[in-house]
Amino acid sequence: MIIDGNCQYFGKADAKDLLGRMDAAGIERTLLSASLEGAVIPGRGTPLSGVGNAEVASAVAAHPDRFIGCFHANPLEPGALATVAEYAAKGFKAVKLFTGEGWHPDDPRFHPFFDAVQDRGLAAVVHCGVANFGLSHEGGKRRALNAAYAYPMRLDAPSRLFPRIRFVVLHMGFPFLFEAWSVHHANKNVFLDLAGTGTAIDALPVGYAAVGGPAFIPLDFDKVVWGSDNASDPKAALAVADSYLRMMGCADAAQRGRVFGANAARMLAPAG
Amino acid sequence: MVVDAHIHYFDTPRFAENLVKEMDGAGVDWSCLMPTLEDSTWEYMHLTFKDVTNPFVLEACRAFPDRLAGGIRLVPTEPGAIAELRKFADTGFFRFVKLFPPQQLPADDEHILPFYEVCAEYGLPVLFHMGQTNGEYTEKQKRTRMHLNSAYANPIHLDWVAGMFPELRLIIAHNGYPWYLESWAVALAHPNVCMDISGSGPWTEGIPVVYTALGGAAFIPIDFDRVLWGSDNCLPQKESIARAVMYLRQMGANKQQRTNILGETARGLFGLR
Repeated sequence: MIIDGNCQYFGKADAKDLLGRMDAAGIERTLLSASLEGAVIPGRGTPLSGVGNAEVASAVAAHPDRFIGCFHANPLEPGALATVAEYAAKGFKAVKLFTGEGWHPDDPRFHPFFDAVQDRGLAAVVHCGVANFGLSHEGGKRRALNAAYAYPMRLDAPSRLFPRIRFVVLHMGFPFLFEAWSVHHANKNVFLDLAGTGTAIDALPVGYAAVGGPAFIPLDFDKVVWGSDNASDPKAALAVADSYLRMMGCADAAQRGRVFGANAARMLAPAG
Repeated sequence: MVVDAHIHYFDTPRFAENLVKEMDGAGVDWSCLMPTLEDSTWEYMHLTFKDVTNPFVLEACRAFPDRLAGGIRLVPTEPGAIAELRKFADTGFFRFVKLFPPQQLPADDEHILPFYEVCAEYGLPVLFHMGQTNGEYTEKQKRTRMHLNSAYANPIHLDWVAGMFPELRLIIAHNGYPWYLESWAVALAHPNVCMDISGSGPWTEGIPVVYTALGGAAFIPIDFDRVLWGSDNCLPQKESIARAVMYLRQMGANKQQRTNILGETARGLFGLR
C-alpha cells in the first residue's frame, strides 16, 4: 500500500484532481493537512485561504477511505487544547505544528498540549527548518514564520517526555539536517519526512553523502516517511524519492517500499 | 565599477585620505564606510577605537562624496535611535544601515520592528554582522560586565525579518560564519536577502571550503547576483579582491557574476553612480 504521508490541502477545487493524481500514482491513502491561512505558495497565484481544519474534515468525511485527517494547531492559541480534542474526536490521526509561529516545543508551558496529543494517540507532524512559503501581508498586516524557532533539536526533550507521540520532522528540517538526523537517531519515536521536490529536498542526499552518510549518522529508514507535499505530480515525486533513498544508502528495495507506505501506517497508528 | 561593500571607519590619522589613496591603487571606485564599535578593540590588529561613530563617518563621506558611501550604525532599541536614523539618513551621505547583533540584540527582536519600518521608508538596506565576532569591548566597558555575545548573531534570525519586510534589502555579513547553512538557506528562501564575502581567515576561506565540501549548488544554490564583496579592513583591498575572486571561482561563480560581486551588485543596491 502506498501512503502519501504529507500532503497539503489546497481546497475543494483541488480535491477531485488530487484523487485523480493519487489513482494515477497508485496511492491508496493520503494524510491531508490543513494549510496555514494566507500561505503564499511558490507557483500558486493567490494566497491559500479557507483550507483550514474544517475544510480538511469535510474532505476526509467525503472520502474516508482515501484521506486521513491532519489538523493544524498552534499551542500559543488559547483554544489549542480544545482543537486537539475536537479533531481527535473526528478521527484525525495527526496534528501539524509550525514552531515557526513563534514557540519552542521544549518549552514546559506546552507540556499540557503534548499531554493532550499523546493521550489521544496522535502523531505530531512538525515543520522544522526554513519554510519555502511565505504568509500574505493582506490588509497591511506583516506576517512571517520564523525559522529561528524551527531547530529540530528542540524536539529532543518532547520526544523523550512524550514517548507515545510519533514525531515527524518535515523535510528533514532543511537546512538543519544534522540536528534532524541526530534527534531521529537518538529517539525511537522520531521519524523523518522525505516530502516534496525541489532545491531543499535535492539537498538531502547530497548533504548526507557529503558528510559521510551512515558513517556520520546512520538513519533508520524504517522511520522515514514519504510525502508528496502536493508540490508536484506524485508519480514523479515517488520516482525522485526512490532515487534519493538509494543515494542515501537505502539499497534494500523492500525497505524503500516501506518508506512509501508501511512506515506512514505505523507512524499514524499508536502502538498497542 | 568596483565597490568595497564592507569597511569600517578607524580613528587612525588621516584615515579617509589614506583609504581613498588605497582605493586608487586597487581600482576601487567606492567604499561603503561604516562606524566601528566605539570603546572596542580588535586585538589581532592591535587597535582600540573611540572616535569612530556616525558623525566621523559623515565627515569622511562629506570630504569624499564621490568615493565614500556611509553606513549608519545604531543600537535600534536605544531611546532616540529612530530620530538619529532619520537625522543621518536625511544628510544624503548614508546609503545603508549597519546593525551589530552581538550586542545582545537578535535581529528578530520585536522591539526593532519600528526601526525596520523607517529603514524601509528610506529604502536603506540593512547590513548585519552575522556569526562569530572577534571584536571586544575595552577594559573600561568590561569592568561594567559589558560583553559581546556571538550567539545573538545567528543569521537564522533574519528568516522572520525578511518575511516581515519583503521590501527591505537585508545583507548577511561574512556569510554568517560559522552558520553558513543558515545563511545560505535564508538567502535561498528570501529574494530580499544578500550575503557578503568580507574579512579574512575562516571568515572568508571557510566559505568555499564548506560550500564545495557539501556539494555546492547541488546542496544549496547560491544566487551570486545577491553576493557582495568587502575588505572589512582585514587585508589591503587589492589583496582582498584577489582572494575573493579565487574563492568565487572555487564556488562556481562565472566571470560576469564575479564582476557583479566585486561592484555592480553593490552599485545597484546602494544607488551608487
